[in-house]
Order: sequence, then C-alpha cells, then structure tokens
Amino acid sequence: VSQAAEAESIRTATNRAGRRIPELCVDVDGRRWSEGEVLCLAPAMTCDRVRWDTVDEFDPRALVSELGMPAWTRQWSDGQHRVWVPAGEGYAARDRIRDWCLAHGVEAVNVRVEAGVPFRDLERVPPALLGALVAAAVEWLYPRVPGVRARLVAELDLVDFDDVRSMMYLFVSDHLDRFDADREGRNGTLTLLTYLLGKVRTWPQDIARSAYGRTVVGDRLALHRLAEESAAREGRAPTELERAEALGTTVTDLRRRQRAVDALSGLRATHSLDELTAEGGLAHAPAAVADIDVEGEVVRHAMEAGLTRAILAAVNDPDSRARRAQDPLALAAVYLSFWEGLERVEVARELDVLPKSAAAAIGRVLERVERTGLL
Amino acid sequence: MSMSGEAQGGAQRPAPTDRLDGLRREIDIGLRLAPSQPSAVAAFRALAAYLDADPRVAVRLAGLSMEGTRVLLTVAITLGTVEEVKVAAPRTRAALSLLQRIVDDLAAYDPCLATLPARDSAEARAAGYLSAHGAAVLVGTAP
Repeated sequence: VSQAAEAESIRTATNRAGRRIPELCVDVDGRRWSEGEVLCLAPAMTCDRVRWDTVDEFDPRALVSELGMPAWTRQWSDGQHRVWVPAGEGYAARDRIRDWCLAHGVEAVNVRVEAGVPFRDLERVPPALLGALVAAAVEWLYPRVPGVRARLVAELDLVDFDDVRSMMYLFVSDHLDRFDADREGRNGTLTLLTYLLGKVRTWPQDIARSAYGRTVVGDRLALHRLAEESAAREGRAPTELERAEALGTTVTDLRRRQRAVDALSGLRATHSLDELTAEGGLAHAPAAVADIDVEGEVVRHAMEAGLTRAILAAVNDPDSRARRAQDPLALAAVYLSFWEGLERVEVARELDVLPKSAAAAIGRVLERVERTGLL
Repeated sequence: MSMSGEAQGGAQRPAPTDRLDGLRREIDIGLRLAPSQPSAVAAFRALAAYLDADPRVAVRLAGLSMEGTRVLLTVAITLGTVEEVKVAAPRTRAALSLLQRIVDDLAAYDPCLATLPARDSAEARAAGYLSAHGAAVLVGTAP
C-alpha cells in the first residue's frame, strides 16, 4: 500500500473504512484557490434567519437597507425570501419586516424565525470565484450520486435526467451560505464536499416535501419502508391491509392517501374505468358503492390472497432440494379440485393420472397449507 | 381449463370423456387481481409488464368485472399440456414462476386463484372488449 493511499484511507464515525474526500481547488485568473481560501473571504457567522412567502414582487435589498439593523439577504432556489440578522435580533427583525411589508403593500405569509443558524455573506466573494467553486463541487458530486439523481427524476413530475445537473448547481449554491467549515471530527475539519454529500442524501425528499407537502411525502416514505421490509421478510409486496396498518389508518383512508401518493409519483389513473362502463363493457357494475362493507371486502380478498400464497409456496420452492421443488401437477390438481369443482376421479381423468396420484398431489398441498393455519 | 385432445392412459386409468384427436389438452389456471377502482389502471399496467416478461408462457385476459369497490381482473395462465404439467417441463416451470412473481410482486392487488369465467359470461365479454380495444380503452380513445 502506497503512502498516498494510506493517507487517503480513514475510519468513519460509524467505524467503517473509508476514503478521505478531497478539498476542492479552483483555478481563477491564473491562480489556484483552495476552498478554504475562497470561503475565508466570507467567514461563517451565527445569525438568526427570517423567512417568509409572498406572491408580491418586491426587491428584498430595499427592505434590508431600511431595516435599521445589520442584515443580509440572498435568494435561494425555492423562491422564499430570507433575511439574516445578527443572532438574537431575529424576532425584532420579524416585526420590522412585517411592518415594512404592510407599509409597502406586500402580503407576507408565514413569517418564521430560525435562531442561531450559520451564514456566510457570499456577496464578499468575487462572482467568478464563487461560480467556479460551485461548478467544481457539482463536477465532483454529480457522478457520485446516481441514486439521488434517479430519485429526483422518479419523484418529481416534469423533471428529467437532463435537468438534474442544473438543479444540482442551484442545490450547491443554496447550501454554500449555510456551510459551517469550522466543525471538526476525528478525521479533521469538515470539507465542503463532505458537507454537501451529507445534505444531498435527503435532497429528493426535501424538494418533494416543498413541492407536494409534508404529509403526502411522509406517507410515501412510510409505504416505501413497509415495501422494503415486506420484501426482505416475506419476499413479496405488502397487501392493502398491511399498508393500512402500517400507516395506522383504515383502508378507505389509505386509498385516499394512496391516490395523493400516486399523483406525486406520476402514476395517475387519469382515465376512470367508468368510461369502460359507459361503453357497455361493464354494464352490470354497481352504480353506487357508498354502502359497501369495505372492511369485510378487504378481509375477504386478503384471506383469498393469503390462501393463494400458501398454495403457491407449497407447489413452488425452486430453492429447495426436495424432489418436487416445483410441483405443477399438484397445483393443477388442487385448482381443478377446489376452483373447478371436480371430483378426485374427474381430476385424475383430466390430468391423465391415477386417482391415487391425484389424491396424493392434493394431499401434499393441503398438508403444507394446513401448517400455515389458513385451513 | 381448456379440455380438448387425445388422452393417453393404460388399462387401469380412467378413460377420457373428450376425444378430440389431434388437439392437446392444456391446463389453464385462473388468477384474479382485485385492485380498487382508482388503482385499476396502474394494476393493468403492472400486470402487462409481467406478462410481457416471458413469451413462453401463454396468458389471456379471461374476465373483467366490478365487485364493490374492486375491479376484478382475471387472467388465464397456461401451465402447459397435460404431459408438460406431469413432468414439470421448462414451459410449465416458467408459467409457475410467472404465477409466483405476480402473486409476490402485485400483492397490493390481492392476487388469488380464481375460477375462469364462462366464455359467454358478462365478465368474459368485458375482457374480450378490453382485449379487442387494448390500450385505446386505457388512454380514453376507444370508439
């Protein structure tokens, strides 16, 4: 192992072997700048942040100049307005901002104060230097987070893979003023790329929350978690009943929330099957379903599905070393017997086997299904 | 189950009732999905993706109906001929694996074994309509 490689390897906070993330360097105007040198131009301060929404057009710089206290503003890509003031002045600043907005006909909505946040006044950094630092961070980060890129495209409507790089520029630009480089850990001082790697993992869900709302994104995360648990534990997707239980709600409410989640995922049922009914294809469909026993219906379908899973588990176990790891004859015999309603002799005739072979095949399945307690 | 064809059998085996020589009997298994109405289109799409996965397995849409808040979608999955089923031929094993994958991966739509509807039933006619018009129904451009 070379000395350079040894120097690059580190032990992480969770005691795993890792590699040191490099410090960024940019070349501007014939000089090489390290990220520390660039960020030293705008040292980190501790401030209170006031943010709010409005639909009215106004120049926040005019507000800052009239606030009567040291204040800074910077536009983030989420469109909200933000003003930073020295720590401890946040609530006073909020009142003055409200007054200013009232006096200038700007409707401020949901004005919030976040106390004690790190802030860098990036206006002190020459734009060419700042742009080069953001570009270098994106160049390093973009190829290393394919999962995050895929989630962004999957979770946000109208976002394509081509859009992700430019979105990442905005993401890095937004986070630069929040970067607190003074933090130190066992592996040294926090670098910009380490900080961004930590933040980028939750970026898709953060952006989805701001686009679609906290509740629907929370529901989706809970459903994803359940799907993963079910896949690991049961080897299958969760049923509707299991999903309702995981969210602590009823099946009816789950369906309402599921519609919102589906809309969020771009998986929309835009054309109702009512159209098909109108064509005459489903003429016997009930006109109204308001008085249907949804709970009973769910339980019945869940039991039938559970029985089917048990039967398939009995006839299809390719990983097993048993002589009949896959037993289609038994499946056919059980199906003909219980779903087509044939007698054992008729089943034997259909499958061209002896009646005792048909009975044995059915017995094999029933024995294993009985062990599950479903019969 | 489609039943037509020549049966083999020794002296001790029961004689087949149908004697359509030249045709081979095939075993069809009915599998029903029961998505709620708003998620039915998503269920159709998910099922279609699975059915395209293995061209060896013969599948047809056998029934379509509504019951309560559910849309009942029944497909017939052909396990193979009687001989193939008896010896667990590759095609039969592929059908069994497909059945297993649908039951596992589309568990959200409560897949279960189901009786195949009679060919002249309303369910079968609705399925025939959907099969004939295909995607046009789902995208809302059916005549």
